[in-house]
Amino acid sequence: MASVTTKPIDTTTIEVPGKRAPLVLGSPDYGSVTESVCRLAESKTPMLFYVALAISASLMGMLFGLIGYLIITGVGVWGNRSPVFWGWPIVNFVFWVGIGHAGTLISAILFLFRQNWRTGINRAAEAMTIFAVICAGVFPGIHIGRVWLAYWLFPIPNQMSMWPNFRSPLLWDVFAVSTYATVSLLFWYMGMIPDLATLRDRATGKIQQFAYGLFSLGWNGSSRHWHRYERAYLLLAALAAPLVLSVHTIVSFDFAVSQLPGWHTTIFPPYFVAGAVFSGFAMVLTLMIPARTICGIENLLTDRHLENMTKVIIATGTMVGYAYAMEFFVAWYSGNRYETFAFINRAFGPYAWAYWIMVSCNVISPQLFWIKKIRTTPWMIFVVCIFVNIGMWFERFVITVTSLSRDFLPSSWGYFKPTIVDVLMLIGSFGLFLTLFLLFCKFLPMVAMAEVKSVMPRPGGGDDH
Amino acid sequence: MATTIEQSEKTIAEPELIGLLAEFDDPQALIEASEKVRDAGYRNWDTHTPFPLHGIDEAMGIKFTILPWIVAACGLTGGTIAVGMQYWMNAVDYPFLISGKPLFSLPACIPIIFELSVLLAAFGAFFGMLGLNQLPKLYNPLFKSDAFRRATNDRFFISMDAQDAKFSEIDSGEFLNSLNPINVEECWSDTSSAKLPRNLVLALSLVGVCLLMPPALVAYKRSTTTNTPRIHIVPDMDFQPSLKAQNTTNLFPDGREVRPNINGTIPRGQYKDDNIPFYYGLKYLPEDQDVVVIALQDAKKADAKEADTKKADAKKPADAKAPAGKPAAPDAAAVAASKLDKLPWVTEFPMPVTEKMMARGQERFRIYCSVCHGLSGEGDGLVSLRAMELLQGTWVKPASYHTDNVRKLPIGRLYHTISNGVRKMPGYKAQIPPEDRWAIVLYLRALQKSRNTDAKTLKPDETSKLRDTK
Amino acid sequence: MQTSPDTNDKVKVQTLAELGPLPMKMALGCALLLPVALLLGYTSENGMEKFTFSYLQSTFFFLSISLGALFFVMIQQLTRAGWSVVLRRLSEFISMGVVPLTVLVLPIVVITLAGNDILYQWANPELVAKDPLLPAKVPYLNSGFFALRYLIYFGSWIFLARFFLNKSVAQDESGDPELTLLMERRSGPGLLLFAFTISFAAIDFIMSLEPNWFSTIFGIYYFAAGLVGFFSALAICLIYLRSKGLLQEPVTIEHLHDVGKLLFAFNCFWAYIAISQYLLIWYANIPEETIFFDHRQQHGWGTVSLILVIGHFVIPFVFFMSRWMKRNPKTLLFWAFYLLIMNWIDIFWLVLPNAKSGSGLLGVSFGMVLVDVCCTIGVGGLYVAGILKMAGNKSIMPVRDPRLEESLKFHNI
Repeated sequence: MASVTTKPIDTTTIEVPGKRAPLVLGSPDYGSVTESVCRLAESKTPMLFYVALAISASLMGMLFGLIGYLIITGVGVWGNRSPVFWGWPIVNFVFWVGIGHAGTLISAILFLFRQNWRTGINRAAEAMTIFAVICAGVFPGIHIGRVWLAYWLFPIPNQMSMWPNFRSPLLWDVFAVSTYATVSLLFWYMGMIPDLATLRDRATGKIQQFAYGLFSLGWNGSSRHWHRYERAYLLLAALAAPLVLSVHTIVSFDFAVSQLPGWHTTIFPPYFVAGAVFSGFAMVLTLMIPARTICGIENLLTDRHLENMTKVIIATGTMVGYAYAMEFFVAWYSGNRYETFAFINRAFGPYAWAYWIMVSCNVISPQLFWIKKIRTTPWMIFVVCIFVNIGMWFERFVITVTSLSRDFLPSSWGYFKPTIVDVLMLIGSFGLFLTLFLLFCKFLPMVAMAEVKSVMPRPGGGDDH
Repeated sequence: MATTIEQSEKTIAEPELIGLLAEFDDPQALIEASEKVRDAGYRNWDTHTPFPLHGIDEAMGIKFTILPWIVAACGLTGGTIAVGMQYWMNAVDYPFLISGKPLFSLPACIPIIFELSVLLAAFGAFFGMLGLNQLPKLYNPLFKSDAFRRATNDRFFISMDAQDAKFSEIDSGEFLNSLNPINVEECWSDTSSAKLPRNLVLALSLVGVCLLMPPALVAYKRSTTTNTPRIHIVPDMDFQPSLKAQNTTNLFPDGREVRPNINGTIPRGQYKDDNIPFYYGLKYLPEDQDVVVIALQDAKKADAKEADTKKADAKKPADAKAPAGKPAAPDAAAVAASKLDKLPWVTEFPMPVTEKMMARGQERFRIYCSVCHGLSGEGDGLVSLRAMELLQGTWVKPASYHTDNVRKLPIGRLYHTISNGVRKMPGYKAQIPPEDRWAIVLYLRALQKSRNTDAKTLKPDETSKLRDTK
Repeated sequence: MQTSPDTNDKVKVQTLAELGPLPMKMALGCALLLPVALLLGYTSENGMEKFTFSYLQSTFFFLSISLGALFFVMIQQLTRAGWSVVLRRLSEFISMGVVPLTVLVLPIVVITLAGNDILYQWANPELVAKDPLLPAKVPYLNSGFFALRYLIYFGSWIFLARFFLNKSVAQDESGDPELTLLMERRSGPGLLLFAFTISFAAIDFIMSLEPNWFSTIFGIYYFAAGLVGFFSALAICLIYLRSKGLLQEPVTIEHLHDVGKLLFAFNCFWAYIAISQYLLIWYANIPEETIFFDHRQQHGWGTVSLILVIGHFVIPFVFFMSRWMKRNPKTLLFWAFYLLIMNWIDIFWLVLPNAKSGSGLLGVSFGMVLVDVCCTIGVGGLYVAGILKMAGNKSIMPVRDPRLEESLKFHNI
């Protein structure tokens, strides 16, 4: 899709104290914002889209095929063996849930901090959250073995007259991730209602009119409605902010409430949350950098937006590094030889290769963002973010597998190897994620038009109240 | 308060004016205009903007919404449900003991309390907002206006409802024009039929019918029985290759899946010969061990014969109480009985007798024996009473323990009776382990003693207790 | 937008000196309670333990507030915040409290160097030799390295606090926007230095009171407590100053609302850290770790723990949700004071349970609380006096900060 406008000159990354960089380039009016975004849904789909969709859909198909194979054959098709009973499925689950956190952080927490630049990215980021949570939810769903009994996880009467064990962090996960998926969906959908109304009012085809009309619920821009809408948005943001913190906290509890050295350490909750935001923002950038060029929305998603996100990455990456340092120090300080061994084993044991990939990708690569040039050049940001995501996957891998493969009793030690099914399912999950994202880009408003309009300066000046 | 222009119920032939629409292209102009409309005293009016306009709330006089209270109430409800649910499900209805933690552990409940509060609060925010806004409301007369399409794009509107008290077609129109809009438009009611198009009705009905089918199927299946085995959608471990007791197989020459004991082996826990008194109630096994077997077999035969005689007797008027231990053909039973009498039964308990054993015996007696024998051993248990009430011809009332015959029997014999049965009574050795059988015998003796004690041997308090008891 | 000195009639230059000599006199008056506390300690049973631990608790209570202030200053610079400019100078003043505290904490370091084990068991080589685990920790837990680390921590904090204050004050004169950019650039590394120094200071001075116990989140716990203390103190200071005519126009109800919101948010953050630590230790139930909470459940400490749960989190949570509460100076003042006291109880709960008598741990007692309160007021007097001295004649608002105009016009959601 050729950009209708040529790329505007972007000077937003030059900071002049006292002057706020414009959030939208080119001094547009409201109509052009609408045009930039609606054009994507309304114009003819380019070939590139179909190619990308074909690739991601086939990967997704591979995932579903493998899931069928898994359910029919059994969990043994994975590499999970004694002593490493939690292998790639859990690693993938934590990885995807973590990625989802960026969207909610952008939507909710940046909203509460009145960071108006979030309006360029929050729609896509929230969509990314939903899709990431879907990918995440697949893995615990299929790893239970007897998938048709998954309803036992919920507190509904079952044929055994039994209830779930509420004291288990695995069950807290069920509630947390379900709540997170639901609330994110509500938040995302609610944000889209005004924009769907915009698309409805511009729609020409019968199907589009019907679909956008149905889902925009009859929204007509009434200020009385906006008043309640704004309040609901604020309340949902205020609810979603602690929620997103709690979800990855509860995921961290899966590990931290155990007694395993390397798992049982009190810093896990904030450390996991920081790591989640870290990987999530990296994924947002990985998606948005190509998307903004291909979809021609560089005036709505400026270099400033990208730079701000890189700063979040470096902040959270440093928090993750802090947690590594603290764990390492206390492992020695504690005098607990199992704890000390766990950390020496991570760095120098059979999984040292994974450990050093993790450290170089998580601690070292985000530090590159201290350099202004790197954080303001999109392709460089893209490369670093890829490394960050690799690093974060390896972090979950290192945490999960090293502690299990070598715990208290040397006679129980064992080396974990993934099977081809493990590997292909991870790749397939990316296919699922990308398919959903591409469909979103095509049919739904990719940028929150109403929100962008509310934060951009009023055309022709006027009180920016 | 109306946020959309209401259409009148009657379908009129010609359209009615239902409102006016003024279009602006500058948000500041809209705010100023709104202040004027508010000050002019209009109530049924609204403004429409593509994004929330800061300052419009005050300009229109919009009151603060009650939504936060709804959200707070929902959140509180969620938290309460979470606490109650976890308490009741894990500590009351089906108590879970997890690593020694208290049945209701507040720290472990906190994550779910938090999540459920947030979930319900979020529902409150979302559905509360939609409800207060009266959305979804897919039909709106304003959508008929082409200009209004830009309300969600880049234009700003004031809509005025004709229902308003201050509304008048000419004056309000002039008033709106005085606010300097780009355009003022009239909105007319829709004269097309309010009935749903036929295709839509058919489609919806079809969908409705399809949706009703699964619950109907479920209700049908749950209210009927079937003779065919269920469909195993997911076989699980329902069909297993392991051998089962009543099946046939060609693995073994005798074709049976159940296998007999292997010669020369004794199953675990079944070696009894190292403690004859304990397991058999005999001081020793007689030389001709067959005696025991024969005695048992004879006893069974005698019972069988007795049953036949009883059947014959049933044709004649029978007594309510069938005489116990007096068969029509005394010979076989008496012979069997006398054979049993001759065996060397133990007369002392083959273990120390304790209070605990007595209590156990009482408990076990009440579980296994009292149904027929009655709580006091007179043979007036519920089963017995019922059988006699039903005039069961084959029923033999259990012998009362409180007869000299039974009092004379050595305890080993009593043990044997419990184990192997006598007359109508089946053997209970499969259900009651040996220790418990001895405990029952102990209790039996206690029961007998209770009816057969010289008052002089009682202590004074026991005597007074007897006197006071009715 | 720069405000040149001749056109900013809206922006008066005010200083704390306008309050007169009374605040300094009151601070020095309070300082007299410190020797009173010492006397109480000297004359009561186990009094010297009570006093020493109270002294540690008091100094670290105020230190957490100053460190919270330092964090706030750096974060506002890093994020280019506009709303908070009017109250940033006050925060810079509070962060300078690390200077008097360096002197106040010195006695603790000195007695540890001398081998006195009243606070730290590991300072006494004989006790270390008898303990099965402590000898392995000697490379870290020895008084020499401890003293060196003390110098590093306080040195770093003084350096950071002075840097941000001085650059900010320099901008009052020159109005140079380059200073803002400089402070922004330095705030990143500054925060990194801050993170590590505060964590290890908490570990060294507080966590090592129980040298066989450990928790990786401890540094963050102390940090969170400090933020609650700081925002409470900030709210109290702002409301007090406004009542005396200082900062009355620049600091509006919008700013106070925001401070209230941040106080709420960080109180919830504190509760989150506290529950993380508790839940994980409770769940795994390992005696090596549960000893910490076990001590805080006996001899009256259980009541204090319960006060923290209900008083520090549950009750404020309900009231802080109200928008109206945060927009009313009187109610905000009340709740800020309330949380400041709760914060004090939190540090009390962290430090005092480690006070031992000959026969075991000391329970909470009226005497202990009395000594601690006197000690806190005493140390607080010296702390406030120090800050007042250093604030001196400096403007209480960065009058030529480029983002000042944005801050003055700030409106809340």
